Parts: sequence; structure tokens; C-alpha cells
Amino acid sequence: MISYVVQRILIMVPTLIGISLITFIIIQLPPGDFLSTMIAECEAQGESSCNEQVEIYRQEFGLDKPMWQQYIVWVTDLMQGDLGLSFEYNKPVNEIIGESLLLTIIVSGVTILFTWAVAFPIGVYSATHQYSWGDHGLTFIGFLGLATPNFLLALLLLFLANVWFGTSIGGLMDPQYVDQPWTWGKVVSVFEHLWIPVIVIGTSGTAGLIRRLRANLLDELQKQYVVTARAKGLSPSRALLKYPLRMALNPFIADIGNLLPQVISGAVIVSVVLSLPTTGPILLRALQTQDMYLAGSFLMCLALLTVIGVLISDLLLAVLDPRIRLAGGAAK
Amino acid sequence: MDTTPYRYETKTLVADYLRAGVGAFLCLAPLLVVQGGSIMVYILGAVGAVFLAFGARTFLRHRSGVTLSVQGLQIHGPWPRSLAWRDLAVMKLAYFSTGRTKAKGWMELKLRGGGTSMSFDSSLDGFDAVVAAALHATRANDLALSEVTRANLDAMGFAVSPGSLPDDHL
Repeated sequence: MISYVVQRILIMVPTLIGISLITFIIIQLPPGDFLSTMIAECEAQGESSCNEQVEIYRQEFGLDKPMWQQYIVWVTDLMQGDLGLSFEYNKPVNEIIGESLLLTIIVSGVTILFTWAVAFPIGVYSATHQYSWGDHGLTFIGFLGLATPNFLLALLLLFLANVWFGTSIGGLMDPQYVDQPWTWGKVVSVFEHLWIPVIVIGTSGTAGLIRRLRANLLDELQKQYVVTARAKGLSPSRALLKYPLRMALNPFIADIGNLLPQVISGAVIVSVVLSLPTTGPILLRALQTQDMYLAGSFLMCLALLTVIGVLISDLLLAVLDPRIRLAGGAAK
Repeated sequence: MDTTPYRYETKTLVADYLRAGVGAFLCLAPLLVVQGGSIMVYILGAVGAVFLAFGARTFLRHRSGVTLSVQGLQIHGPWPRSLAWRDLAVMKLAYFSTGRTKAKGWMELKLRGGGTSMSFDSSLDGFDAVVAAALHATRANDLALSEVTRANLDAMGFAVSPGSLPDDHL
């Protein structure tokens, strides 16, 4: 197993170098930059010392250096956990992301738990009671969830909560806790507001998971070893849980690679609609304003999380189901 | 049974030494520029330790030989161990591949029993003979094999009653 771990980690190295290069090129690609926008705004206000100010900024941020030097500085800083300085906020990126990153992880983490907690029992029920009334009903709800855009559901819930309960459910905490240090009251307030984004973001994921789990489990349940196990008198619950359910979960383990970056970037539009203080809107704003270090650091974090996620899912799959899947004989 | 010690292929050992060296360098060299107390120090340090452990394991394999006999298996070298077939309690055969098509991979055999455990990769020159002997011992000791092990044995050409599970496994 250690050989596998070592080889998988080594594969990550060129991947990450490639990703960092592509990310750096992408954030440099758009014509102009934040400072040229700044010059235009400055000149529009009729100020005379615009170019001198921008030149100071250019030196401060190292933008006067050749591109490859900028890349080396950026990567070296990243390796030290320094995500750079934001042009727009004139503050370290770490400081800007700060609390919003924690809130994003809370929202995404609870959403993932919600999705799995709801989808797994329903998916198993649908597969073991195929074509029953319950299966048809849950399938219908599943398709409804898949077909409803998240932002539309968010708007609908905002409206209904206002009409029925007379409350505004936007944001992730009561206004008095915004930008305040963490207290027990703030934690309670966050969890009181959490259910709406969790339902909104989690609905389509839950519906998708139900459909896939049902399909995978149905495939497994029709295999020869399940028939053998039943014929040998194994109880239905053990004949379901021992192997078929475990095998049906493999695609979800493989999906962890996609799950981790979603924790950081997930549901940008929903965050905007629901005024959530998460990282999604900050990323959107950084891309709009060409705040290259902020946007670049975000993109690099997302890529890193994807690579780590794929590594974790590969390792889990290797532990859970290390079987050969070749048409021919074993490879040596 | 043949009592000539089996050894790991030189080509595989050289590749593993290279992996361990490159990995350890890539993880431990940046520690010189990373500020102390940063989370990166712990991450790089932990991954670097994995590469060092891998290097140590490769060295052990380099200096070791495996002898197969009717009584059991013996590993000679810096960390000598022996496992009698009558004590064999667990046999697991796993397949790993890092390739996209999963075609270029390797098998890993794990044996446990009598208070010791052994692990062999398919780059051991007598790997097939060791697997065959271990499979024979599992039958003699009436041991259960997992579905994964059965599938991998099947792929190696060992018949292990496909499509069925032993009663004690249920």
C-alpha cells in the first residue's frame, strides 16, 4: 500500500506545478489589470498624480518584474501559506478570506451531511422496493429536486419565509453578530439561519445522489454473489449491507475529488441570492475586478483541493476495493 | 518446493529508491524556506516522513531474501521473520495501479499468522510460487478469502470457485 501512496503523491507534484502555471497564466490573460482600471478611475476623478501612485503600487506588488519572476515569488509565497495581497482591499488575502472561509466550510459541511443523511436511506429504500408506490413517489420528488434550480428555490423560500413567518432569512446570522467575535450567541444564530442554505444547496445534490445510489445498488443486487448469499440463507439485511451496499458506494467515494473544492467555491449564485457571507461572492468579485492575487489564490486553492480530493478518493478506493479490473491476466 | 531465496527485481528497487529520494527532497527541501510554525511545515514534514519510510522499506527489501519451503516462508536479511503455513490465519491479495487505464499495476500479497505478518509485491521474482503456496495453505487451514482476493487470484490464473462464497464468510 505504501508503494501506491508514494506513487500517487509523486503524480501530484507535476500536476500541481502544471496547475499553478495555468492558474498564473489565466489570471494574467485578461487585457489590462487592476492597476490600469485604477488609473482610469483616478483620471476620471481629475487627479494629476495617478501614474506616480500606480507606479508605487506596481513596485510594491512586484508587477514591474518579468512574468517568470512574478510566478516564482507567487508560488514561493503560496508554499509558505501567504496567499498574497489583494489590490482591491489592500489587505492580505488570508485576512480577507478569514471568517468567510470558516462559514463556507460550516455551510458546505452541513450540506454534505444533510445530503448523505437524506439520500442514503431513500436510495436504499428505492432500490430494495423497486417499482413500489414508495419508489415511484420518491423518484418523482427526486426528479423535482433535480429539475429545480437552486437560486429559484432560494428565492421561493425567501418569499415564503417572509410571507408565512414574517422574517428575513437572508444572511447567515443576526445582524448584531456580523463582524463580531465568536460567542455562543453567534454560534446559535448561525445554526438558526443554516437550514435554508442547507436545504437550498443540498436539494439537487440529494436528488442526484438518490438516483445514482438506487441505480448502483440495483446493479449490485442482481449479481450472482448476492443470489448465492441469499440461497445460502443469509438474512436480507446482511445480504444487502455486507457487499452490495459497500460496492454501490464506490462511485461516491470516487466523487470526493469533486466534493472538496465545492466546500470552498460551492453555490456562488445561491450565496449572492441569500446574502451569505461565504467565499463564493468574494471569488466572484475578485474575478470581476481582476484582483489577480485574490482570484489566483482562490483558483489555486480550488485546484489543490481537487487534487487532494482525488488522492483521498483513490486511496479510499484502493483500501476498500483493490481488485483487478482487466480483461486479461494479472499485471506484473 | 524450491528453497532458492527469492529477491526483488533490481529495476523495481532502483525505481523505488528514486521515488523515495525525489519525494523526500521535494518535501524536505522547501522546509528550508517555509516559516516555522506554518501548517505547511507539518504537511511537508508528514509527507516527507512517508517518503523516508518508503526509502527504508525499499532498503529492507533490497537486503532481504525470501525462502519458500513446505513448512512455511522465511525472510532473511536485516529484519528476519518466518511464518509457518500451519499458522497462516489471513491471506489478502490486492491490486494497485496508478495508471489511467489501470493496466500497469502490481499485486500485493499480505500474509498474517503466528504473531507475524508479511507483505510481498509482484516484483518479487517468485511471487507466483509464494501466492500458490499461500493459497494451498488457506485451503489446508480452511480459511476464508475475501471477494477482492478471490477476484485477484482469478485474474492470476488460480481457480477459486468463482461466484461463490465460503460458508464461514457468510
